[in-house]
Amino acid sequence: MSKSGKPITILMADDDEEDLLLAKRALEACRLANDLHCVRNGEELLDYLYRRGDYAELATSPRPGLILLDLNMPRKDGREALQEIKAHPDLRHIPIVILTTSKAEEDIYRTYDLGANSYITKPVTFNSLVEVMQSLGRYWFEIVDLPQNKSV
Amino acid sequence: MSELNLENSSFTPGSSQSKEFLCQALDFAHAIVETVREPLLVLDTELRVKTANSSFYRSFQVLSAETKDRYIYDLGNHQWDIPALRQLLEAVLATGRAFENFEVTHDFQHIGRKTMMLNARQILQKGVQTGMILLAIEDITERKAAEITLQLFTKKLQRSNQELQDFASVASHDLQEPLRKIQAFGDLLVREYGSVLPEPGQEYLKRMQNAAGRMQVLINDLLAFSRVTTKAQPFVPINLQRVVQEVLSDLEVKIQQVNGQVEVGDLPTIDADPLQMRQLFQNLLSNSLKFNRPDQPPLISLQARLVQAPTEAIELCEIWVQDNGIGFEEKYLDRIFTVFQRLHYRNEYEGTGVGLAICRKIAERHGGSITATSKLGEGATFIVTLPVHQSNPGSIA
Repeated sequence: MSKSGKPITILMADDDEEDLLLAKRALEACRLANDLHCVRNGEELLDYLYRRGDYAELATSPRPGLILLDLNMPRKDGREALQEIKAHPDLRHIPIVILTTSKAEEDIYRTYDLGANSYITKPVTFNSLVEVMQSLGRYWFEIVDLPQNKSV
Repeated sequence: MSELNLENSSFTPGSSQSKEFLCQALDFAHAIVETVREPLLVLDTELRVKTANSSFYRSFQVLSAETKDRYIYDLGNHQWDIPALRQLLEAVLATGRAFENFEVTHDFQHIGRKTMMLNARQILQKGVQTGMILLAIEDITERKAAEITLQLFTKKLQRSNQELQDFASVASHDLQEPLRKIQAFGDLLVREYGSVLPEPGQEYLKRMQNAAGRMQVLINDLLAFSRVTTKAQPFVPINLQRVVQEVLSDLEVKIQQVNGQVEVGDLPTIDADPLQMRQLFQNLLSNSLKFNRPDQPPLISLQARLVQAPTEAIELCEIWVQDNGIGFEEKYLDRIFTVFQRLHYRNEYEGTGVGLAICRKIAERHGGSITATSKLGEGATFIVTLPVHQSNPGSIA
């Protein structure tokens, strides 16, 4: 639960099934997984945020309080999706944390340039993944104040 | 060459004195033309051969009789009748402008396929165009072939460099990706089901995870090794004294742990890649600290001296890193500088055997070398030799 008492909705965009599973387990391990939603590429991520197609219902596709975004995905990659979200007047308020295997300096530079809120390289061990999730949850849902969300 | 201009104020046409002078000047000009190693032709305003030097006859294996007073395009089975050359020569005639470095590859009558470089200009007399053309021909076939060989070689080198870079990125992403999964799910297995596994099962799992961890280290070390080439920085003047001080402060904890002591002499400033110098000293000092004798705290001496290269006139910097550690048998000298080669079992000393291999690669990239002297149980001395000055910026190894 966040400090406002609402369930924490995290939207994770990653094409890697195992990483989604590991993230889910890690969020469970630090009791943050009360509302995790997963999409598999940038197109699905934008469909979700715009409530298009399968994601039309607010009840099943609530606005996320945090987006975990992988960079290398099929169809529309994380960089393109990031650019589009950060250019949108309402969606740009949602914090986006890049969670990727890339350590390339140009990826770090470019994603911050596009407005990413944090950049994290996927940890190697499960325990460090739990730590990362714990810190992210604490930071984005307990410590910081974010603008009140308006509906899209 | 009767049209030759003579800059002489006392020159009076027809006088015996002027005739003698003219003869002298002609001999002089003739001697020059004959001595020139490149084939030369003098063409008149109708592009007929007025003079050819002996180099021309020799090079094209033709006789004076089949050359002199002949139209240039008729020479040697019309071998000079090339549309582009026609255009150029006509332009030289019409405008008086010279052309330079016109390249032509052609099957020549007696000498086969050759590439010639042609230069032509009108001969001036008292600043006035005479209409006569001096045509210099240079056989560049061999130079051209050498250039092509060099180009091919450069391309090959670029390709292998590219492959190395690709390999580094493959190793960093594609290999690490599945490995990360093995490690993470291994962790998860221990965390969630470790307690229900019988003792041997837990042991197998532990060994699997250790192996995966070791593979992670290997991949990282291999990457570090390939980065000596792929992440090379240009050479700049760098104070080695400062580099070593920085390395020592990085190693402070490790030195204290083994109760070690490092003595550093005067070190010079040399042209080098700063990060690679840091890595070189870091690896050498870490190596000496690691292979210490259990009964004796490590004592390391780091000295440098400038020497003259034995064959070339270049100044070299010799760096000596001497320790009192376990040493090694000198028959293994080559092995210790080869990547992933180790002299000890994993449980004796940790590491993948990449540290000294990186040192050698760094030394060689700088045009230097590394070697060592040692006796088993009596310490080792590593000697790195690096040029003090670098002529190229060294951005490409």
